[in-house]
Amino acid sequence: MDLQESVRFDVDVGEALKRMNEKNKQLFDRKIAEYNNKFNSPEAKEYFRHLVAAMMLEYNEYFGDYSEREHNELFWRTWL
Amino acid sequence: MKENITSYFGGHGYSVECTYRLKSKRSLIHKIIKYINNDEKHIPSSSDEYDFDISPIVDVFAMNFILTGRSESFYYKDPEIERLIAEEKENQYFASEMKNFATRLINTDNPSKPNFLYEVTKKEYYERCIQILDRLISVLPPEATSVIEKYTEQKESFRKVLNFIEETMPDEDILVDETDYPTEGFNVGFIRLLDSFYSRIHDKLDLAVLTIQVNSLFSNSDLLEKFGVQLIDFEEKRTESGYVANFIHLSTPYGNIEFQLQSKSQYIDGNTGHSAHTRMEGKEIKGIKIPNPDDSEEVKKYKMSVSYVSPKFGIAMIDRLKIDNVILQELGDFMNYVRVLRQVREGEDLNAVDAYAAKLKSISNRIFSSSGSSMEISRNDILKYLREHSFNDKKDLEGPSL
Repeated sequence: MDLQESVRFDVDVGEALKRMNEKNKQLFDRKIAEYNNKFNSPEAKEYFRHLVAAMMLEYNEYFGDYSEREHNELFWRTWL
Repeated sequence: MKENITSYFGGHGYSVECTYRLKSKRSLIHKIIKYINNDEKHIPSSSDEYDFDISPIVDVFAMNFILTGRSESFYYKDPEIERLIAEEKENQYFASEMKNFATRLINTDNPSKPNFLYEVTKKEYYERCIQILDRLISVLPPEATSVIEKYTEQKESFRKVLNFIEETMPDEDILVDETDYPTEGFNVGFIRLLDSFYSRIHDKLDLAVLTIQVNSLFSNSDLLEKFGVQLIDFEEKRTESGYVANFIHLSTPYGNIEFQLQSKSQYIDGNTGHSAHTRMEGKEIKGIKIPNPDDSEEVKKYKMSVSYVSPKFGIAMIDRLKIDNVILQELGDFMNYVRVLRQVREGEDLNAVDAYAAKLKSISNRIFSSSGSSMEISRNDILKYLREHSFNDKKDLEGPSL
Protein backbone atom coordinates (compact mmCIF):
# COMPACT_ATOMS: atom_id res chain seq x y z
CA MET A 1 0.00 0.00 0.00
CA ASP A 2 1.48 3.36 -0.91
CA LEU A 3 1.02 6.57 0.93
CA GLN A 4 -1.84 7.84 -1.24
CA GLU A 5 -3.85 4.77 -0.36
CA SER A 6 -2.93 5.12 3.30
CA VAL A 7 -4.77 8.42 3.48
CA ARG A 8 -8.12 6.66 3.15
CA PHE A 9 -7.59 4.95 6.48
CA ASP A 10 -6.92 8.00 8.55
CA VAL A 11 -9.95 10.01 9.63
CA ASP A 12 -7.78 12.85 10.92
CA VAL A 13 -6.06 13.17 7.56
CA GLY A 14 -9.39 13.13 5.74
CA GLU A 15 -10.63 15.99 7.89
CA ALA A 16 -7.42 17.96 7.41
CA LEU A 17 -7.61 17.56 3.62
CA LYS A 18 -11.23 18.78 3.57
CA ARG A 19 -10.08 22.01 5.18
CA MET A 20 -7.20 22.54 2.73
CA ASN A 21 -7.44 24.71 -0.35
CA GLU A 22 -6.80 23.17 -3.74
CA LYS A 23 -3.22 24.37 -4.08
CA ASN A 24 -2.26 22.85 -0.76
CA LYS A 25 -3.97 19.60 -1.65
CA GLN A 26 -1.87 19.43 -4.79
CA LEU A 27 1.20 20.27 -2.75
CA PHE A 28 0.29 17.52 -0.31
CA ASP A 29 0.03 14.99 -3.13
CA ARG A 30 3.38 16.07 -4.57
CA LYS A 31 5.15 15.79 -1.24
CA ILE A 32 3.63 12.40 -0.50
CA ALA A 33 4.73 11.11 -3.89
CA GLU A 34 8.20 12.60 -3.46
CA TYR A 35 8.80 10.94 -0.11
CA ASN A 36 7.27 7.72 -1.33
CA ASN A 37 9.67 7.61 -4.27
CA LYS A 38 12.73 8.63 -2.28
CA PHE A 39 12.45 6.94 1.09
CA ASN A 40 10.42 3.91 0.13
CA SER A 41 12.54 3.07 -2.90
CA PRO A 42 14.74 -0.05 -2.83
CA GLU A 43 17.76 2.15 -3.61
CA ALA A 44 17.13 4.34 -0.56
CA LYS A 45 16.73 1.36 1.73
CA GLU A 46 19.91 -0.22 0.39
CA TYR A 47 21.76 3.04 0.97
CA PHE A 48 20.54 3.39 4.57
CA ARG A 49 21.36 -0.20 5.43
CA HIS A 50 24.92 0.21 4.16
CA LEU A 51 25.24 3.52 5.99
CA VAL A 52 24.07 1.94 9.27
CA ALA A 53 26.57 -0.89 8.82
CA ALA A 54 29.36 1.57 8.01
CA MET A 55 28.58 3.61 11.14
CA MET A 56 28.77 0.50 13.31
CA LEU A 57 32.01 -0.66 11.75
CA GLU A 58 33.65 2.74 11.99
CA TYR A 59 32.58 3.21 15.61
CA ASN A 60 33.87 -0.21 16.55
CA GLU A 61 37.09 0.37 14.59
CA TYR A 62 37.91 3.54 16.50
CA PHE A 63 36.33 2.97 19.88
CA GLY A 64 35.44 -0.70 20.17
CA ASP A 65 37.21 -3.36 22.12
CA TYR A 66 40.67 -3.22 20.58
CA SER A 67 41.92 -6.08 22.68
CA GLU A 68 39.25 -8.37 21.26
CA ARG A 69 40.22 -7.49 17.73
CA GLU A 70 43.88 -7.91 18.52
CA HIS A 71 43.13 -11.25 20.18
CA ASN A 72 41.18 -12.43 17.14
CA GLU A 73 44.00 -11.43 14.78
CA LEU A 74 46.64 -13.19 16.86
CA PHE A 75 44.47 -16.26 17.32
CA TRP A 76 43.84 -16.75 13.61
CA ARG A 77 47.47 -16.06 12.71
CA THR A 78 48.62 -18.69 15.21
CA TRP A 79 45.96 -21.20 14.22
CA LEU A 80 46.72 -20.88 10.54
CA MET B 1 46.28 -4.60 10.84
CA LYS B 2 45.48 -0.95 10.93
CA GLU B 3 46.99 0.76 13.92
CA ASN B 4 44.30 2.07 16.19
CA ILE B 5 45.95 4.96 17.92
CA THR B 6 42.90 5.61 20.06
CA SER B 7 43.74 2.48 22.06
CA TYR B 8 46.78 4.27 23.46
CA PHE B 9 44.56 7.00 24.85
CA GLY B 10 42.14 4.70 26.62
CA GLY B 11 39.76 5.14 23.72
CA HIS B 12 38.80 1.50 23.33
CA GLY B 13 36.39 -0.67 25.23
CA TYR B 14 33.19 1.08 24.21
CA SER B 15 30.14 -0.62 22.85
CA VAL B 16 26.94 0.67 21.34
CA GLU B 17 23.64 -0.82 20.37
CA CYS B 18 22.20 0.49 17.16
CA THR B 19 18.54 0.65 16.24
CA TYR B 20 17.09 2.24 13.15
CA ARG B 21 13.65 2.83 11.78
CA LEU B 22 11.70 4.10 8.82
CA LYS B 23 9.00 6.48 10.02
CA SER B 24 5.43 5.21 9.96
CA LYS B 25 3.29 6.42 7.09
CA ARG B 26 0.81 7.90 9.56
CA SER B 27 3.50 9.89 11.31
CA LEU B 28 4.96 11.14 8.04
CA ILE B 29 1.59 12.24 6.63
CA HIS B 30 0.60 14.01 9.83
CA LYS B 31 3.89 15.85 9.84
CA ILE B 32 3.54 16.97 6.21
CA ILE B 33 0.01 18.24 6.93
CA LYS B 34 1.26 20.08 9.99
CA TYR B 35 3.91 21.92 7.97
CA ILE B 36 1.54 22.68 5.12
CA ASN B 37 -1.05 24.10 7.51
CA ASN B 38 1.49 26.19 9.35
CA ASP B 39 2.55 27.84 6.12
CA GLU B 40 -0.87 28.49 4.56
CA LYS B 41 -0.43 32.19 5.11
CA HIS B 42 2.43 32.21 2.59
CA ILE B 43 0.35 30.93 -0.34
CA PRO B 44 0.84 33.29 -3.28
CA SER B 45 -2.47 34.23 -4.84
CA SER B 46 -1.64 34.04 -8.51
CA SER B 47 1.18 31.57 -8.85
CA ASP B 48 0.51 28.32 -10.72
CA GLU B 49 3.47 26.46 -9.34
CA TYR B 50 3.91 26.53 -5.60
CA ASP B 51 6.25 24.47 -3.56
CA PHE B 52 6.90 24.33 0.09
CA ASP B 53 10.02 23.90 2.14
CA ILE B 54 9.58 20.86 4.35
CA SER B 55 13.23 20.29 5.11
CA PRO B 56 12.43 20.32 8.86
CA ILE B 57 11.11 16.80 8.35
CA VAL B 58 14.47 15.26 9.07
CA ASP B 59 13.56 11.97 10.60
CA VAL B 60 11.85 9.94 7.90
CA PHE B 61 14.80 7.59 8.37
CA ALA B 62 16.42 7.60 11.76
CA MET B 63 19.08 5.71 13.56
CA ASN B 64 19.97 5.55 17.21
CA PHE B 65 23.23 4.78 18.99
CA ILE B 66 22.76 3.69 22.59
CA LEU B 67 25.94 3.58 24.64
CA THR B 68 25.96 0.29 26.51
CA GLY B 69 29.58 0.06 27.60
CA ARG B 70 32.00 2.82 28.49
CA SER B 71 35.73 2.42 28.88
CA GLU B 72 36.86 3.02 32.44
CA SER B 73 39.74 5.16 31.28
CA PHE B 74 39.66 7.81 28.66
CA TYR B 75 41.44 11.08 28.12
CA TYR B 76 39.57 13.89 26.48
CA LYS B 77 40.95 17.37 26.82
CA ASP B 78 37.56 18.97 26.86
CA PRO B 79 36.55 21.28 29.72
CA GLU B 80 32.94 20.07 29.69
CA ILE B 81 34.03 16.42 29.92
CA GLU B 82 36.42 17.27 32.75
CA ARG B 83 33.61 19.02 34.58
CA LEU B 84 31.30 16.04 34.13
CA ILE B 85 33.97 13.62 35.37
CA ALA B 86 34.41 15.71 38.54
CA GLU B 87 30.63 15.84 39.02
CA GLU B 88 30.32 12.08 38.57
CA LYS B 89 33.10 11.41 41.10
CA GLU B 90 31.47 13.65 43.67
CA ASN B 91 28.13 11.94 43.22
CA GLN B 92 29.75 8.50 43.36
CA TYR B 93 30.80 9.02 46.99
CA PHE B 94 27.24 9.88 47.92
CA ALA B 95 25.91 6.94 45.90
CA SER B 96 28.23 4.52 47.72
CA GLU B 97 26.91 5.73 51.05
CA MET B 98 23.33 5.28 49.87
CA LYS B 99 24.13 1.85 48.50
CA ASN B 100 25.39 0.74 51.90
CA PHE B 101 22.10 1.83 53.39
CA ALA B 102 20.19 -0.05 50.70
CA THR B 103 21.80 -3.34 51.74
CA ARG B 104 20.00 -2.93 55.07
CA LEU B 105 16.63 -2.76 53.33
CA ILE B 106 16.75 -5.84 51.18
CA ASN B 107 18.36 -9.24 51.57
CA THR B 108 19.81 -10.26 48.21
CA ASP B 109 21.57 -13.49 49.21
CA ASN B 110 19.24 -15.10 46.71
CA PRO B 111 19.32 -12.40 43.99
CA SER B 112 16.43 -13.78 41.99
CA LYS B 113 14.21 -13.78 45.05
CA PRO B 114 15.11 -10.85 47.27
CA ASN B 115 13.17 -10.28 50.46
CA PHE B 116 12.53 -7.09 52.37
CA LEU B 117 14.20 -6.44 55.70
CA TYR B 118 12.60 -4.41 58.47
CA GLU B 119 15.65 -3.56 60.52
CA VAL B 120 16.02 0.20 60.05
CA THR B 121 14.04 2.84 61.88
CA LYS B 122 11.32 4.79 60.09
CA LYS B 123 13.16 7.99 61.00
CA GLU B 124 16.37 6.88 59.32
CA TYR B 125 14.53 5.46 56.33
CA TYR B 126 12.62 8.68 55.57
CA GLU B 127 15.66 10.83 56.25
CA ARG B 128 17.59 8.83 53.64
CA CYS B 129 14.68 9.03 51.18
CA ILE B 130 14.63 12.81 51.48
CA GLN B 131 18.41 12.93 51.16
CA ILE B 132 18.45 10.96 47.96
CA LEU B 133 15.52 12.91 46.51
CA ASP B 134 17.36 16.17 47.13
CA ARG B 135 20.41 14.82 45.33
CA LEU B 136 18.35 13.32 42.51
CA ILE B 137 16.62 16.64 41.87
CA SER B 138 20.03 18.35 41.74
CA VAL B 139 21.32 16.08 38.94
CA LEU B 140 18.22 16.32 36.74
CA PRO B 141 18.33 18.58 33.69
CA PRO B 142 16.61 21.86 34.68
CA GLU B 143 14.21 21.42 31.74
CA ALA B 144 12.76 18.24 33.30
CA THR B 145 10.19 20.27 35.23
CA SER B 146 7.48 17.62 35.50
CA VAL B 147 9.97 15.07 36.86
CA ILE B 148 11.34 17.63 39.33
CA GLU B 149 7.78 18.40 40.39
CA LYS B 150 7.04 14.69 40.88
CA TYR B 151 10.13 14.21 43.03
CA THR B 152 9.44 17.41 45.01
CA GLU B 153 5.93 16.19 45.82
CA GLN B 154 7.35 12.86 46.90
CA LYS B 155 9.88 14.63 49.11
CA GLU B 156 7.12 16.71 50.75
CA SER B 157 5.15 13.58 51.41
CA PHE B 158 8.14 11.91 53.08
CA ARG B 159 8.83 15.13 55.04
CA LYS B 160 5.30 15.02 56.47
CA VAL B 161 5.78 11.44 57.62
CA LEU B 162 9.12 12.32 59.19
CA ASN B 163 7.67 15.36 60.96
CA PHE B 164 4.85 13.24 62.35
CA ILE B 165 7.32 10.68 63.71
CA GLU B 166 9.53 13.35 65.23
CA GLU B 167 6.58 15.12 66.86
CA THR B 168 4.71 12.12 68.20
CA MET B 169 7.44 9.55 68.89
CA PRO B 170 10.71 11.47 69.25
CA ASP B 171 12.37 9.01 71.61
CA GLU B 172 11.16 5.78 70.12
CA ASP B 173 13.01 3.76 67.51
CA ILE B 174 10.04 2.58 65.47
CA LEU B 175 11.17 0.15 62.80
CA VAL B 176 9.91 0.26 59.20
CA ASP B 177 7.13 -2.11 58.22
CA GLU B 178 5.23 -3.09 55.12
CA THR B 179 3.40 0.23 55.01
CA ASP B 180 6.70 1.99 54.33
CA TYR B 181 7.52 -0.25 51.40
CA PRO B 182 5.23 -0.66 48.39
CA THR B 183 3.91 -4.20 48.36
CA GLU B 184 4.28 -4.88 44.67
CA GLY B 185 7.47 -6.30 43.32
CA PHE B 186 10.92 -4.94 43.93
CA ASN B 187 9.91 -1.30 43.81
CA VAL B 188 10.83 -0.30 47.33
CA GLY B 189 10.72 3.52 47.35
CA PHE B 190 14.33 4.11 48.35
CA ILE B 191 15.72 1.36 46.12
CA ARG B 192 13.90 2.74 43.09
CA LEU B 193 15.18 6.22 43.84
CA LEU B 194 18.73 4.89 44.21
CA ASP B 195 18.50 3.14 40.82
CA SER B 196 17.33 6.38 39.21
CA PHE B 197 20.15 8.28 40.86
CA TYR B 198 22.80 5.83 39.65
CA SER B 199 21.49 6.12 36.10
CA ARG B 200 21.42 9.91 36.20
CA ILE B 201 24.95 10.39 37.52
CA HIS B 202 26.43 8.30 34.72
CA ASP B 203 24.08 9.50 31.98
CA LYS B 204 25.50 12.96 31.49
CA LEU B 205 29.07 11.75 31.05
CA ASP B 206 28.06 8.79 28.89
CA LEU B 207 26.11 10.99 26.53
CA ALA B 208 28.83 13.66 26.34
CA VAL B 209 31.50 11.08 25.50
CA LEU B 210 29.32 9.35 22.89
CA THR B 211 28.55 12.70 21.26
CA ILE B 212 32.22 13.65 20.97
CA GLN B 213 33.03 10.24 19.49
CA VAL B 214 30.28 10.26 16.86
CA ASN B 215 30.97 13.86 15.85
CA SER B 216 34.63 13.01 15.35
CA LEU B 217 33.72 10.05 13.12
CA PHE B 218 31.90 12.31 10.70
CA SER B 219 34.90 14.62 10.58
CA ASN B 220 37.55 11.96 10.08
CA SER B 221 36.10 8.86 8.45
CA ASP B 222 36.99 8.39 4.78
CA LEU B 223 34.38 5.65 4.57
CA LEU B 224 31.52 7.86 5.75
CA GLU B 225 32.66 10.65 3.46
CA LYS B 226 32.16 8.32 0.48
CA PHE B 227 28.48 8.05 1.44
CA GLY B 228 28.09 11.75 0.75
CA VAL B 229 27.03 12.32 4.36
CA GLN B 230 27.36 15.77 5.84
CA LEU B 231 26.67 16.95 9.33
CA ILE B 232 24.20 19.83 9.11
CA ASP B 233 22.87 20.37 12.59
CA PHE B 234 23.23 19.38 16.22
CA GLU B 235 20.48 19.56 18.81
CA GLU B 236 20.33 18.82 22.50
CA LYS B 237 16.82 17.76 23.40
CA ARG B 238 15.78 18.08 27.02
CA THR B 239 12.07 18.10 27.79
CA GLU B 240 9.89 18.69 30.83
CA SER B 241 9.11 14.97 30.99
CA GLY B 242 12.80 14.22 31.50
CA TYR B 243 13.51 13.09 27.95
CA VAL B 244 17.22 13.42 27.16
CA ALA B 245 18.90 12.83 23.81
CA ASN B 246 21.37 14.51 21.51
CA PHE B 247 20.47 14.68 17.84
CA ILE B 248 22.79 14.92 14.91
CA HIS B 249 21.01 15.82 11.69
CA LEU B 250 22.70 14.55 8.58
CA SER B 251 22.33 15.42 4.96
CA THR B 252 22.53 12.42 2.61
CA PRO B 253 21.89 11.97 -1.10
CA TYR B 254 18.49 10.49 -0.13
CA GLY B 255 17.48 13.38 2.08
CA ASN B 256 18.02 14.36 5.66
CA ILE B 257 18.17 11.78 8.40
CA GLU B 258 18.20 11.95 12.16
CA PHE B 259 20.89 10.34 14.27
CA GLN B 260 19.94 10.11 17.93
CA LEU B 261 22.45 9.51 20.71
CA GLN B 262 21.53 8.29 24.19
CA SER B 263 22.83 6.42 27.18
CA LYS B 264 21.14 3.09 27.91
CA SER B 265 18.88 4.39 30.68
CA GLN B 266 17.95 7.47 28.63
CA TYR B 267 16.87 5.14 25.81
CA ILE B 268 14.81 2.93 28.14
CA ASP B 269 13.14 5.90 29.84
CA GLY B 270 12.39 7.47 26.47
CA ASN B 271 10.64 4.32 25.28
CA THR B 272 8.81 3.01 28.33
CA GLY B 273 9.47 5.40 31.17
CA HIS B 274 8.26 8.78 32.31
CA SER B 275 9.47 10.52 29.16
CA ALA B 276 8.05 7.95 26.74
CA HIS B 277 7.34 9.20 23.24
CA THR B 278 3.75 8.01 23.43
CA ARG B 279 3.05 10.55 26.17
CA MET B 280 3.22 13.27 23.56
CA GLU B 281 -0.11 14.38 22.19
CA GLY B 282 -1.07 12.59 19.02
CA LYS B 283 1.70 10.00 19.41
CA GLU B 284 -0.30 7.37 21.25
CA ILE B 285 -0.95 4.15 19.39
CA LYS B 286 -4.09 2.21 20.18
CA GLY B 287 -4.70 -1.43 19.44
CA ILE B 288 -6.69 -2.08 16.27
CA LYS B 289 -9.48 -4.67 16.57
CA ILE B 290 -8.01 -8.07 15.76
CA PRO B 291 -9.71 -9.48 12.66
CA ASN B 292 -11.31 -12.84 12.11
CA PRO B 293 -8.50 -14.69 10.31
CA ASP B 294 -11.07 -16.48 8.13
CA ASP B 295 -12.44 -13.20 6.81
CA SER B 296 -10.06 -12.16 4.04
CA GLU B 297 -11.49 -8.63 3.75
CA GLU B 298 -11.14 -7.99 7.49
CA VAL B 299 -7.59 -9.37 7.40
CA LYS B 300 -6.68 -7.18 4.43
CA LYS B 301 -7.99 -4.01 6.13
CA TYR B 302 -6.25 -4.93 9.38
CA LYS B 303 -2.90 -5.46 7.65
CA MET B 304 -3.18 -2.14 5.85
CA SER B 305 -4.06 -0.33 9.07
CA VAL B 306 -1.19 -1.92 10.98
CA SER B 307 1.22 -1.11 8.17
CA TYR B 308 -0.04 2.49 8.21
CA VAL B 309 0.63 3.12 11.92
CA SER B 310 3.81 1.06 12.46
CA PRO B 311 7.34 2.27 11.87
CA LYS B 312 9.70 -0.32 10.39
CA PHE B 313 12.32 -1.19 12.98
CA GLY B 314 15.76 -2.69 12.59
CA ILE B 315 18.65 -3.58 14.84
CA ALA B 316 22.33 -3.62 13.85
CA MET B 317 25.07 -5.40 15.73
CA ILE B 318 28.70 -6.29 15.21
CA ASP B 319 29.21 -9.99 14.54
CA ARG B 320 31.53 -10.91 17.41
CA LEU B 321 32.80 -13.92 15.48
CA LYS B 322 33.87 -11.71 12.59
CA ILE B 323 34.20 -8.13 13.69
CA ASP B 324 34.27 -6.70 10.17
CA ASN B 325 30.70 -7.92 9.72
CA VAL B 326 27.52 -6.20 10.79
CA ILE B 327 24.31 -8.20 11.23
CA LEU B 328 21.10 -6.31 10.48
CA GLN B 329 17.85 -7.70 11.78
CA GLU B 330 14.67 -6.07 10.46
CA LEU B 331 11.45 -6.84 12.27
CA GLY B 332 8.33 -8.22 10.62
CA ASP B 333 4.89 -6.59 10.62
CA PHE B 334 3.72 -8.29 13.80
CA MET B 335 6.77 -7.28 15.84
CA ASN B 336 6.83 -3.73 14.44
CA TYR B 337 3.24 -3.22 15.55
CA VAL B 338 3.53 -4.81 18.98
CA ARG B 339 6.76 -2.93 19.64
CA VAL B 340 4.95 0.35 19.19
CA LEU B 341 1.99 -0.75 21.32
CA ARG B 342 4.39 -1.65 24.15
CA GLN B 343 5.75 1.90 24.35
CA VAL B 344 3.43 2.73 27.20
CA ARG B 345 4.00 5.13 30.02
CA GLU B 346 5.55 4.07 33.27
CA GLY B 347 2.87 2.95 35.66
CA GLU B 348 0.34 2.11 32.99
CA ASP B 349 -0.95 -1.41 32.85
CA LEU B 350 0.90 -3.47 30.29
CA ASN B 351 -1.38 -6.42 30.87
CA ALA B 352 -3.92 -5.30 28.29
CA VAL B 353 -1.17 -4.83 25.69
CA ASP B 354 0.33 -8.22 26.56
CA ALA B 355 -3.06 -9.91 26.24
CA TYR B 356 -3.62 -8.26 22.87
CA ALA B 357 -0.13 -9.24 21.67
CA ALA B 358 -0.63 -12.84 22.82
CA LYS B 359 -3.93 -13.16 20.99
CA LEU B 360 -2.48 -11.60 17.85
CA LYS B 361 0.62 -13.79 18.02
CA SER B 362 -1.50 -16.95 18.11
CA ILE B 363 -2.92 -16.11 14.67
CA SER B 364 -0.12 -13.94 13.26
CA ASN B 365 0.95 -16.50 10.66
CA ARG B 366 -2.58 -16.38 9.23
CA ILE B 367 -2.56 -12.58 9.03
CA PHE B 368 0.95 -11.35 8.34
CA SER B 369 3.07 -12.48 5.44
CA SER B 370 6.29 -10.77 6.52
CA SER B 371 8.17 -12.22 9.49
CA GLY B 372 11.16 -9.96 9.17
CA SER B 373 14.53 -10.48 7.62
CA SER B 374 18.17 -10.62 8.54
CA MET B 375 21.28 -9.90 6.54
CA GLU B 376 24.96 -9.34 7.05
CA ILE B 377 26.98 -6.52 5.55
CA SER B 378 30.75 -6.71 5.74
CA ARG B 379 33.30 -3.96 5.25
CA ASN B 380 34.11 -5.48 1.84
CA ASP B 381 30.40 -5.36 0.93
CA ILE B 382 30.35 -1.66 1.81
CA LEU B 383 33.47 -0.92 -0.22
CA LYS B 384 32.01 -2.79 -3.19
CA TYR B 385 28.72 -0.89 -2.82
CA LEU B 386 30.56 2.44 -2.77
CA ARG B 387 32.58 1.49 -5.85
CA GLU B 388 29.33 0.78 -7.70
CA HIS B 389 27.58 3.95 -6.50
CA SER B 390 28.93 7.46 -6.40
CA PHE B 391 27.35 9.70 -3.78
CA ASN B 392 29.67 12.64 -3.67
CA ASP B 393 28.02 14.33 -6.62
CA LYS B 394 24.72 15.27 -4.95
CA LYS B 395 23.21 16.50 -8.23
CA ASP B 396 22.65 12.88 -9.18
CA LEU B 397 20.11 12.34 -6.44
CA GLU B 398 17.89 15.04 -5.10
CA GLY B 399 16.35 14.66 -1.72
CA PRO B 400 13.33 16.65 -0.49
CA SER B 401 13.57 20.30 -1.53
CA LEU B 402 15.62 22.38 0.87
